[in-house]
Amino acid sequence: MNALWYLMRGTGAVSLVLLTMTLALGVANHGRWAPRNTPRFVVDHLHRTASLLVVALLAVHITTAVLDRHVAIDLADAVIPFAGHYRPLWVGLGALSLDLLLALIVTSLLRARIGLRQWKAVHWLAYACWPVAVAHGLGNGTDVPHGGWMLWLTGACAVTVAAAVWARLTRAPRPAATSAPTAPVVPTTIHAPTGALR
Amino acid sequence: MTSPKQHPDPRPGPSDPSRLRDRGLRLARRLTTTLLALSTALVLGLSGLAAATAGSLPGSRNAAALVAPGHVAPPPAAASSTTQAPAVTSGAS
Repeated sequence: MNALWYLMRGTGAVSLVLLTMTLALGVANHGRWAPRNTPRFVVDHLHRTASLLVVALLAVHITTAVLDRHVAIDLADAVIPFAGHYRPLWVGLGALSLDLLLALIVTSLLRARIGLRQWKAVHWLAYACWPVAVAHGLGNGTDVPHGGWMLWLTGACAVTVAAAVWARLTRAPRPAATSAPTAPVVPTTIHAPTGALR
Repeated sequence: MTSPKQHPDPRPGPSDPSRLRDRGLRLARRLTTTLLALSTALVLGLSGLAAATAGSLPGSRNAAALVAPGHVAPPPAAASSTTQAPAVTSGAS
């Protein structure tokens, strides 16, 4: 059914957009950046929400890829990197990116137990997750070699990440003392798993 | 009898922490709703775009260029037999 294929492409592309947003907000959050007159926990909250949305969209992306019978991808191919028969490298990069993202989410959920240092060490994987996901999209995108919209979308995502990293490297982080006075207050009613992908 | 004491204005100022927090919470809720709506719209839009451009590019699915090991060709529409399995291509891309 063609609709599954198109939905798979749509969810994959939006997952990349949201992953880019998550990474950019994470970089901004690391520099304690927040818009003027906005508490910093809003940026933190948006970072978490976007990351959870990525997971939800990836679930749809993988489900549609498995259900669509045009290509032979099963659930194991989507989780175990480089194990499948259909485009093993590019699909495998997608599986690797998913595994990295799951590691980030699980360690964020267990942050209180594993400690800040271990959590931070694993969280650096986010910087590996994004380029792997980009490579998966570029390698698998059937219209990418012909300058299709996915190529332009990926370019825009790359520019966004580069701008966020550049801003992070060139601007001094805001001192902790001047951060929003309400930063520790995180509402439990507007996000489900507390501590995910801070 | 003493006159009632004059209390300071109970209304919080613009930099009041609780007011700032409430405003932040409202903003966070609004942003969450907006992000959900935008993501849904983007999924539908990009899925439609993928469908619209599918036949026009040589590498697209409708152009039958997805030939790779493991690729399962869709069964022909005219085939009525349920026992016929879809052909699996064994060639390289």
